[in-house]
Amino acid sequence: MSHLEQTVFAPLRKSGIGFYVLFVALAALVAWGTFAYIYQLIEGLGVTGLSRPVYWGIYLTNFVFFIGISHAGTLISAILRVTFANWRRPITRIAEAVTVFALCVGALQILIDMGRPDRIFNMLFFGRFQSPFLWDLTCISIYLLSSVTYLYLPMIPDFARMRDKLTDVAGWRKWLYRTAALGWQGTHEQHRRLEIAITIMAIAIIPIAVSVHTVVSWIFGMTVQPMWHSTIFGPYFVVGAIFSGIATLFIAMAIMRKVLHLEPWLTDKQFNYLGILLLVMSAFWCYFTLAEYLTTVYGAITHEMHVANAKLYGEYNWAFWLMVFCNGVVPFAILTRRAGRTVKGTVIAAIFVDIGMWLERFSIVAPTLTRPSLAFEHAIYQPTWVEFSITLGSFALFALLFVIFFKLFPSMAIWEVEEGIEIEERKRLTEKLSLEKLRAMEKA
Amino acid sequence: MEILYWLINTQTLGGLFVLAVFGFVLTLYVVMVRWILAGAQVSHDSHPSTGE
Repeated sequence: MSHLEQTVFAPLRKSGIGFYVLFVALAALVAWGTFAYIYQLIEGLGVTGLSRPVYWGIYLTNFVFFIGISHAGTLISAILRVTFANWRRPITRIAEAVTVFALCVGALQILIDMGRPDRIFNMLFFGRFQSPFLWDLTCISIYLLSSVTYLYLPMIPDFARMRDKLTDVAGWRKWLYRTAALGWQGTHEQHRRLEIAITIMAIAIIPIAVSVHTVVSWIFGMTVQPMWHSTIFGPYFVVGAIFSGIATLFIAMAIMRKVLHLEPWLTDKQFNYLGILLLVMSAFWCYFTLAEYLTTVYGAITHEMHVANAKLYGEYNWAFWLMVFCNGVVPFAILTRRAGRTVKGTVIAAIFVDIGMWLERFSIVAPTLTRPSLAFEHAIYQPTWVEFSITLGSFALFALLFVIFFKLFPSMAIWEVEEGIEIEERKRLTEKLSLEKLRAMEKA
Repeated sequence: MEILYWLINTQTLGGLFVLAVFGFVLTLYVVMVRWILAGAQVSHDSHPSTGE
């Protein structure tokens, strides 16, 4: 086995005490979240802070947040593939896994938010094209299916490799790898077809990903609520999604790199280049946020100003200004310097960005509903322990799915990384030969 | 215009559309995976990265 295979297969063969501790801790948090949900299901949504007119709160915030971070895999993996960025190879598996699990947990938030989750089927029985919820259901389900396929396709050769080389694992895992490999033989033609399929998926999944978060934004944008009914919401949400997606990817990469000893492959290069992307997305985010709030404040429409004031000076000002600090100030402070774009620097910036982006979703959802268009008494939204517990359980579920996935499957696409190493070697050799030829010509 | 109004506002049509699109895309992906695996019948060469 090569050094790459040994490193990547090592966690699949053995589990240290750290894995079991982490697994139990995450499972306990998920169990606590499940308990809170069952309590909510039995007692009704009255146990949450939701009431008229604040029909949406933390659960919708979580929904938009998780769907947002799901853009990590697709956009990083897909866009970097179609632009032939070789440095993407060691990080695509992590990015694609973030996408799939974020989508699963995000979609779950809708069910959690419903007092009668069985009524979700009404979307199919009584769905009308007029409804943005139906557009959402269409886009998210297609995106989930496409992301799972896009994650699975590059794994087929790895499944075959595990089927052939991991003979010392439990019987059910041998069966799993054998089944998932689908009889892959690794012929030249199979590889050629696989590359074509992955490239087509990469191209197709980009507009699907853009459509998903645009449609999620239209859940808000198509209403006439103050500071929701905005034409900028579509691109604003997409930019925010890519922004938070890259940040989450940083955190996942740093943890995997440390825990699974992937330092030779997840190098400073990946963190530096993604750090530049994160900085660029921060700039875009700042621009869109400025455009949104400046337009609102300049127009000074009364019912919009109630919401804007709540965010800028009122009871939601803590969320707004913390959001600006986390998404605008911190990334620029750390990432504009090359010395800041290290593993440590980028992860610190990424943590702040993820916090900031959650606050951004919260700043969009809650303040508007406390001051709706229709005349209503000033409402207050106070989340309860039930909502906090379910939120904590949701984040733990996301992490748990990640941990289980990378306990069973390789953290990198081995064949893709090997291909990348070959390409780099050939490039180095070509450059060396060209240099020698040039020197020989000069001497002559 | 009436047909457009009917299309947009008739309940259940939306749900059927979602199912139809999902089913179509799922079929496409299954066919794609089968096409990839059928590549083994076309060529007898082995690719070195599977370690064969």
